[in-house]
Parts: sequence; C-alpha cells; structure tokens
Amino acid sequence: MLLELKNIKKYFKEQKSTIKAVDDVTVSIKEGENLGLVGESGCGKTTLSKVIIKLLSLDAGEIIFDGENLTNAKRAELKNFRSNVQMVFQDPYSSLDPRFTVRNIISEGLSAVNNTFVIPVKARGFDSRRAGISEIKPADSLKEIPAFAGMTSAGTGMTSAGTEMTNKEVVEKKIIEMLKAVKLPTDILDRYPHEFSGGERQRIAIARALVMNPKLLILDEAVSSLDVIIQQQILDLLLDLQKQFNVTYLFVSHNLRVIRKICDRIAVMYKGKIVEYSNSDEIFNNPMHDYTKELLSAAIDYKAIKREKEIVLSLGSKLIECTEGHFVLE
Amino acid sequence: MKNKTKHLSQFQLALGEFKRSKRGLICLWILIVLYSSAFSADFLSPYHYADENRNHSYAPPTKIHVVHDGKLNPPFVYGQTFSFDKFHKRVYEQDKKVKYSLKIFVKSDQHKFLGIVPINRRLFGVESPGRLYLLGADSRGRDLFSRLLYGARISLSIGLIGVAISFTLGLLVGGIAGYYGGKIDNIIMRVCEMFMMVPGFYLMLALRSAVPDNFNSFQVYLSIVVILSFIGWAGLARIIRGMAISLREREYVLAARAIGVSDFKIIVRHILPHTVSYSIVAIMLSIPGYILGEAALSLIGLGIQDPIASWGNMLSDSMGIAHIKFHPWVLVPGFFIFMTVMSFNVVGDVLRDCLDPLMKGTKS
Repeated sequence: MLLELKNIKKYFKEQKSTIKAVDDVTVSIKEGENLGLVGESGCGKTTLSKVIIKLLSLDAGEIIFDGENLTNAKRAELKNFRSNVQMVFQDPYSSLDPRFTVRNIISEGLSAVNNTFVIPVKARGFDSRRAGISEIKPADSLKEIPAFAGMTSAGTGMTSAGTEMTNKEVVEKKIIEMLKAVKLPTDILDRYPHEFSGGERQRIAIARALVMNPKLLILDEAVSSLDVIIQQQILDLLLDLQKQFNVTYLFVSHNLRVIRKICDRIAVMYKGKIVEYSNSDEIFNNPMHDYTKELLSAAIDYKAIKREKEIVLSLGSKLIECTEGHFVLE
Repeated sequence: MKNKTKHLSQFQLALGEFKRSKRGLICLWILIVLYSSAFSADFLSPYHYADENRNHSYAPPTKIHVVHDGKLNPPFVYGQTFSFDKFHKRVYEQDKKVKYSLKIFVKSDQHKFLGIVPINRRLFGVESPGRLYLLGADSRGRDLFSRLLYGARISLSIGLIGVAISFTLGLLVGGIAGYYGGKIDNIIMRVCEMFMMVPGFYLMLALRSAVPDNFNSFQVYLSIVVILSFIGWAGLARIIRGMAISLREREYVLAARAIGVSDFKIIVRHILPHTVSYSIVAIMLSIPGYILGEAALSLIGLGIQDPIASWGNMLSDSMGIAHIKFHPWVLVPGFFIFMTVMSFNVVGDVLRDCLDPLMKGTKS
C-alpha cells in the first residue's frame, strides 16, 4: 500500500458547535492505482487532502505512507515525505505566487529539500582546490535527494566540456525537463504567472509538484476551474505523466466524468464520511449507497433530481464489504 | 509573444503614475536636494559646525555686495563691527573699509569628507578674518547655514535609520504573528499593545533617561535612533500581522508549505513581499515622526548635544520671545523641519494613490 488512512478525524471547533469535516475516514491507495475522491462541496474532500499532505493536523487516526507511520512525524522526518507527496491546488490563479517567475516557482521545491541549491556551487575542479574537499560533488549530493534519484552524474551531471555541472545548471536542466514534460515551451522561464492562461498555469503548478518526483500526487479539484477542452488536455497530460513519472494520483473532484476518466478506484464522500468505496466501474454500474445513486443521477441528468427539501440520509458508522472490494456504509 | 510593454510590474506602473503628479515630484526633488546637501555638508558648508567666533554672536545674515565705491566688483562682503544700544544689545554694522571677496573652492582647514576622505577646500567662503553668514549666526557666532547642513545629516539620517530598524522589526514580528496565529499571535500582539498603550513622548523620555550620561555624541545618536525605532515598530507589526493573516491562506503559501519550504522563508519570500506597497507608503509617512521625535528630544536638551548640530538643538536657540523678535533667523531650522516633514508626507500620499490598485481600476 502506498498510502493508508486509518480512522482519520478532523473536527473544526466553532464557538458553540463542532464541524466534523472529516469523520472517521479509512481508505487506502495502492501504488499505480488512482483513487478518486468524489462528493459535493463542503463534504470534507479538501480537508482530507490537506490532512494527508500535513497542511492540517489531524485530531485522530493514522497516516501510513509507504509503510511508515507519519501520524506524529516531526519536521525533519517529514522532509522525505514532503517530496513524496505533492499537491496541485484548485485555483491556478492563486496557487502561483504572482511575484515569482516560472523558474522560481518550479525550483522552489528543489531548494527547499536541499539548501545548497540556492547558492550556486562553483565547478568542481575549482571548488575542491580552494576548499580542499575533493569528495563533495554537487551532482552526487543531489542523488540522495529523491527528486534527483534518477539522475546519474555520467548522464546529466556532466557538461559536454567534461566538467561537473554546477547545482545551478542541474536545477536549470531539471526545470527545462519538467516544462517539456508538461508540454510547455521552454523559453518561459523568466515570465510571471499573470502572463499565462489558466491551463498553462495549471501545467506550471503540475510541473512544480512533479519536479519533486513524488510517489503520490494529490489533485485537489485540479481541473475544476478550467473549461472543458482544457480539462480534457490536462487530463490527457496527467495520464501521460503517470506513465512517465510513475506517480499515483489522488484525484479530488465533484465531477464524476473527470473522475471516471482518470481513476481506477472511487471513494464517495458525504458529510465527512466515506459512504461508498470501490472500483470505478462498480460504482458507476452498481451503486449501492443512496447518496452515490443520487450523485450519479445528478451527474447524468440534472433534471432527475428535484429535491423539494434536502433528503436526510442517515449515515451509519461501519463500512460493509458487499462484494469483493466494494465497500458501502451501512 | 515578446510584447514587453504589456508586462510592466506593479512598481513600474506606480512609478509612471508618480511621474504624472506635480506635487509629488516637487517634494521628491526637495528631499533629494536636502539629502544630497546633507551628504556633502563637509564641502558645501563654508565653516565647520563648531567653528565659533564670539565677536559675531547673533550676527545677522551677511549681505553680499557687488558694487564698491560706485564700481562693479566680483562678489564680496564687508567686514563687521558692532556697538551696544541702550538695552545693551549688540547692533552690527558693516565696516565699509574692509572687504573680503567671496571665493569658490576656498582653502580651508584640513578636514575629512564624511570622516573618510581628507579635503582642505570648501565650495565657497571668504578669507579670514572675514565671516560669511548666509543665514546669520547663532549665540556663539557659528554659521547657521553650515550648522544647518551638518545638522541635516543627523536629523535626516535618524529618520531613515530609525525607520529601517523599526520596519525590519515590525515586518518580521507582524509576519510571524500573522503567519503562525494562535498563541504566538496572541502573545506578540499583547506585547505590541503594551508598547502602543504608553504615550510615545513619555516613553521616549523614560528611555532617554535610562541612557547613561557619559555617552559620547555618536553613542547618544545611536541610542536616540534605537529609542525612536523602539516606539514605532508596534503599530506597524499590528498592520502587517493583519495582512499576513489573509495572505497565509493563499494557495501559493499552502503550496510552498506542501513543498516543504521553511516557515521563515515563506514569511520572507511569500508573505512580506505582498505587503510591500503598503510598507513603502507607511515608511514614507512614518519618517517625519522620527525627524520630529529627534527634534523634540534635542529641543529640550535630551537629544543631540551641543556643539554637534541637529535641527532640533539648533531650534533650542529660539526658545524665548526675545530671540524670535531680535534675531528671527534662528527659526530657520524649523522651516527646514517643516519642509522635510511636508515633503515626506506629500510623497507618501502620492505614492499611496499610485500604489492603490483600486485607484487604477486594475486587479492587484
């Protein structure tokens, strides 16, 4: 299992009432198997994804990533986790700092994992002679960082002149590589976010997340603010990138059509609880929970639901496996 | 694609806007002239600030002549003699028998430009024993114009340094309080309120009295800067905190946190830069406070000490109706304080209009 969530709870305490944003959620994600998290606005999808990426603390439960329990992990222990799990936010207009160039946006994560990136290191020959350290090679120190794990000093660490590349050059190369991967032109490095369209911005945001070489990428309504054509392009790109970078997606959306295209498994969330959880085909063909049925019918034909008053669904507390791998809240 | 003109930064837009404001430009030039003449006071002023001549106590501004005995001459000044009137007040008269020609690049005593580069010339002056008082002399016969230039160094720099200290402090503290929120925010804000609660002038006096009296002039100067910035940071911290609270919820801040950027870096790189347009205006509008604060302290004799000149302690010469009545030129430093304070306020005001995105009708 790539990610296991056990009985996650996240409550927000207001002055008098408590909002149960995430209430006892248990779900797991296998490597290579995209999970879609679907539900109406305010059902706790975003809160859950923020809890997963440790932007919010959790009130109860366990987060196990890659066999490692990270529930109470300290800052230093999270360092690795940070690059292993990344997130793409909903609004590409506010998720990129307007004062940062594309270069800074994408490289920020690299400098965060290793501070040496910020200061360009001189070419090795010169550097070692002056400092008297011969074993420190910029390209080698990079290899220890997950983002650079795939790079060898022979392959990318050397320039044609045969000298070791400086960190700056490595970073530059990495950024260009990412821009190519998300199918953006490579001459945009010094431009600012406001010069791009929504789709282009979302590509930059994806590049920013992927440059960390994550195992799990959380896409929080990542295509919701884009028009349908651009949505399609981004979804195709995501599927493409999955093969290329070997990354698993947790796709959070209210849009079933989008979810179906990209996800192998779907978890339906309602009022902070997961009400149904199964393969995507299973969910679409054989929905068990009332809420899932309603969600599906709403997506297929908006006329189908005529809610005079909100139907109060009684929610149980236990997920039952009705057929194999198909869980429904009783 | 390469349409560069389209991508002016907010700062460039504001600059363009600023250039269109006449009063803003005039005041900016006033400030530039004041600061650059303070910078080159060693060269511009005809005398050293402590160069005194008791025979010329409260001498009026020296008249510069070009006509002597009905003939045209290069500019010169007459010598000066004085007698006492029935109130035993000195009355100065021009001694038309002696004339001292006004010279540029006149040789003077050896002194150091900004305390570093040795020079022995001043821009203009008359040869000794003639005295040139462009704006008159003070009680000890020191040239008011020279003292004004030297005093500008202290009075004008105190504003800049004070603002630099208190803004660094205020930005960081406010940024930290707003970004972390919760308990840290609570504690920091209560401390800020404690500072804001005490009336500024009394706090200033109290802090000044805590400074040892055996300090030399430079230490006094430093302690005044510190005292003034000690008072000013709290108000700014409060406002920056408010801005940080709204900025920390922005998605790019969340994204930076998710990437693992350190909190300090997030505050410095993602939060504080977005308060910059407010900060620039606030800086411009708070510099006058420091200048006035120094002037107030020096005026009552707690600030910069004689013989070192500052606009505040020069003004202390003019305490008393007799001084204003008989030698009104001692009020000149007050006029310069007024000019400076007004210029900073106008520039700040114009800048605010320029940087305010609503005024331009564009999205920030």
